[in-house]
Amino acid sequence: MEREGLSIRHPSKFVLVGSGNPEEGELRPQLLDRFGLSVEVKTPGDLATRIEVVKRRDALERNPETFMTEWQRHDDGVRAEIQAGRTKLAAVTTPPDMLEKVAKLCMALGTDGLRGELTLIRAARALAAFEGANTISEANLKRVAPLGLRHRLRRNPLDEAGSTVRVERALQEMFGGGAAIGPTLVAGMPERRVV
Amino acid sequence: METGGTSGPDAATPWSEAVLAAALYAVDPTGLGGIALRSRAGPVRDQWLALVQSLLPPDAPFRKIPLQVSDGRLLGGLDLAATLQAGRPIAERGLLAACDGGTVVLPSAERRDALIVARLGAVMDRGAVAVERDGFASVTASQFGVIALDEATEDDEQPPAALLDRLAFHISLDGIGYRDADDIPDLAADVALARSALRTTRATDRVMEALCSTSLALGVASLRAPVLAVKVAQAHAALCGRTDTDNEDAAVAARFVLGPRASAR
Repeated sequence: MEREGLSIRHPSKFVLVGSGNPEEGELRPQLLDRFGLSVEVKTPGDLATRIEVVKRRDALERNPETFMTEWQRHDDGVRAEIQAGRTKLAAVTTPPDMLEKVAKLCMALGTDGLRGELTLIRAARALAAFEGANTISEANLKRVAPLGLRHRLRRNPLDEAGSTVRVERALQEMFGGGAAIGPTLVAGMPERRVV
Repeated sequence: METGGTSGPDAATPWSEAVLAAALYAVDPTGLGGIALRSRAGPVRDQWLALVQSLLPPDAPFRKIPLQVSDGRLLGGLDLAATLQAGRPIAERGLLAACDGGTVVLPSAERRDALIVARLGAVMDRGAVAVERDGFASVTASQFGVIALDEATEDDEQPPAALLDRLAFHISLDGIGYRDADDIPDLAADVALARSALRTTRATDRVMEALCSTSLALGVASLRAPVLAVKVAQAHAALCGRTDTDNEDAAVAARFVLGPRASAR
């Protein structure tokens, strides 16, 4: 801070979580670029997931306390995994060829600046740590690429596809084969019935 | 359920459908979100509104939100006069907090802007009014149902989608004559009984799955639709004295909740 004759520096590190409704307009690119990751929340379109949502909602309203206790256990499990990942994070190594792949991916997509690369490496490292691995794998990179890059693409007037699709297409071209992995609503949640 | 001797799906008329919607809403006002009612102001609409009110618990609030309403009036805030007099902050309760356990009537719903609907939707979703303004913050529990009066004369005018999505019923009184609206069955006792039985009325997995697949087949994207449909089925089962939903309940739910949403696209 430098004003009114004062010059002070305060440490300030925080996480910024923004939410936006795309129907109300887009954020400016220079602001979007500052967000590390971007998630798209959409209404699930497959029947099984939709039935599960309706059933869980019914269970919640029928008996809020039981529902909360049941899912608290699940949340605690995830929290413990995250904590374990955090302690592991410093030990995760980044192979040089992975850096190259990240750079190639960002170049292929034409993202501006270098924040995309940096974020992608950090996110892949975090995922590796979360999964208890010692080094970043190609699967880690593929998994986080849509999260880290979809908001950094320039609009291409000749390509109508959504940005997530474009990231997945670039991944496919680079690594070939294998269906792209997009996180869904219930991904990572254990099969569990709540009654 | 008695409907004045002419019960049964064969005898369904626009008015009897409107009566059934009113009864189902009165069984579970907060759970079902409410009713979007397309109708011009007139005796038929007054008749229907009086019917709804007569089916709700007598002490439940039933209040209109005026067209020009400030955030302070709607959500509550600082009562300036009382605060100045007392010399310490005095909170004023807003309209939505005062409607806890009751019904909010929203006239001219087709002319409401997105902002008030966003405020209303946030309170409905949370079941509480959260106020952070005028330098103070509070959370007051408030659950209510909404009756949105859609007085549009043109077809392309309609209440904001964010509001419609949260209301189980989208019904119309257009084309119903005053004489048709004369038939008012006495449902108050049945509705009161169903209201107390609702807690123990269960939606079967079969009905939940059927309503989910029907909504998807009809191209209804919103997930609130099947959730509301399940609740309508539960309310109908309770009204018919059943503890488990059956095919008839699912059919009624699909007709009221999913049908209008499918044709809207």
